Amino acid sequence: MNVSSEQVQSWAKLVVQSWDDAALKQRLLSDPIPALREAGFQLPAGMRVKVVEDPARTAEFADDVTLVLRLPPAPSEPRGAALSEAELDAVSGGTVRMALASNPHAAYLAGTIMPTHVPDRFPDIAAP
Amino acid sequence: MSRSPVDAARVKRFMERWRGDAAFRHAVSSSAADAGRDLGVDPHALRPLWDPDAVELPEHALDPAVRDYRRDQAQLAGVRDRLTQRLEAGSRPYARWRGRQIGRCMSQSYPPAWINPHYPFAIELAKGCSIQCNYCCFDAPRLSAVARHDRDGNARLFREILETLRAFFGEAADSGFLYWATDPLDNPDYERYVEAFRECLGSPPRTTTAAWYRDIPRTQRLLALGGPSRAAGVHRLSINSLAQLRLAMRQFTPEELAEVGLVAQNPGSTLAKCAAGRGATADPTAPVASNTDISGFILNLVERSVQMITPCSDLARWPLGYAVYRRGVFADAQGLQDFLRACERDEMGHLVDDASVPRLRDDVSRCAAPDADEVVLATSHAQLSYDHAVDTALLRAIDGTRSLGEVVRGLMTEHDPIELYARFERLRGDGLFEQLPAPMR
Repeated sequence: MNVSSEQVQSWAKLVVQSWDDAALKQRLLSDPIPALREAGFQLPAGMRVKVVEDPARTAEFADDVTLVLRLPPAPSEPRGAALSEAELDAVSGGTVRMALASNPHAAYLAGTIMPTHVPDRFPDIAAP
Repeated sequence: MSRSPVDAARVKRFMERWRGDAAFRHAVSSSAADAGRDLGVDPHALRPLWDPDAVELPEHALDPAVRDYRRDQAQLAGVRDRLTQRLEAGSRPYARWRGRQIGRCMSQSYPPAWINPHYPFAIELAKGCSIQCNYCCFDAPRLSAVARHDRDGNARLFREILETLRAFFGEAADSGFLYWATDPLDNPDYERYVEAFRECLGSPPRTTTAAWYRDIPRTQRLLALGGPSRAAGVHRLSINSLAQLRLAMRQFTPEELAEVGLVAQNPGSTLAKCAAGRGATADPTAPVASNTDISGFILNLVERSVQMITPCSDLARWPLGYAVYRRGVFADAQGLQDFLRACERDEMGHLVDDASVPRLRDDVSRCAAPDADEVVLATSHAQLSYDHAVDTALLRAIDGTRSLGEVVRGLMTEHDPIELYARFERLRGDGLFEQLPAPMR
């Protein structure tokens, strides 16, 4: 069954939302039509919808009146990944490199602290 | 390489003295063989901790005491990541919003902010502070009232507040603490609140006090109540003068303070001041704008008030170093819960609608990229270089006029729409689109 580019886009957004919303994911898997309609899908009366996580099962449900949507898993890369000191110049999973603009604290990046000139490394720095 | 048998507590004390005492620093650097012997440590072996020329010695060349100290410090610096993990079990909109604030602060602040834990909440048990530190970044007013535990229904309300916060944040609520622009020991019933906190949330809250010296036995009893959760850091004693540093080191053995930080804020210490509040007056060269370590809520039990806040370096707009999204008052736990849920719904922006128009933060500008496959963004403190094809496509298409739906639609012929939305969420997680609210009157 063909879907429009608008539906492809709407489905993509739902997929990404479901990665962060277990209840939405469960609804999509168990009772997808109301969830899809809430998301703006125009679904003709009588149409069946099946959402599968396993791509191997797509063919199992595909027919002329069933829209089969695959819900891929979330990327395994953790969100808000831990930042080690060694990663201070290469944060966010390697997709973005962050470097300090010129400032007197650049030594932090390499772990080369100039103790009398830069803020102390102890994490209690003046914080309440 | 000689191996020093000194234990971690004594190395920690050596470093605290080194930070707080300029004369000691001079003695260490000029005659490392002798200074610090009274602490039972070998300053020479600890050189990589205090000598800029020795900090990069290879791991295998380090004295075990240096490695142990650095490991302990890294453990403390890991508070934020442990907290992030535990907050996943609480409010999802909050966890994502906090993640975006962390991303925003990473590119808006000097390195100390990079390990800012972004704690979820603090509860003030007084109005104002008796200490009146001249560098107070929150410009705390003079102490005018305390919330006595057995009056005004405080005991019951306090427990209900904790239950409400636990329902919102999950088990990570044990990382909250009971002071902000206040000193916890100003409240004679602080220990009773600590006990209630422990009973409700499983461990005592972290305590930081500058009033520790007023009643040493009380401070000792408080510390004996136990340390906070591993996701809350450590107890800390603020040091406001060299005399206080010496007093603390006389009154408490290194072992007694093995898990308690001495935060040397005194003149001559190496600790950076923060420019927010009264900080700029105390240190006109203060390199750090904000030392707010909460992205979440500040409650005041005296006023029954609550604010949703996040760290902010723009002191012209937010002079105390934090932006306030919303303020409210509550009469009971239900009122607080209503406030939290309203913030979650209206302020935390969990999902971006296709109709919304993403726009780079005001302080983020585009730079010429050295490579055609890169997009380089700059703030006053950092440069961010993106080289993933979907990231760069999104960043080029997001121009502040097109809606998210239009942006994705325009890129769908070249990229998988699922990846487009997923990568957009990652960019959002970097805080690139996180506009802070306008200052309140």
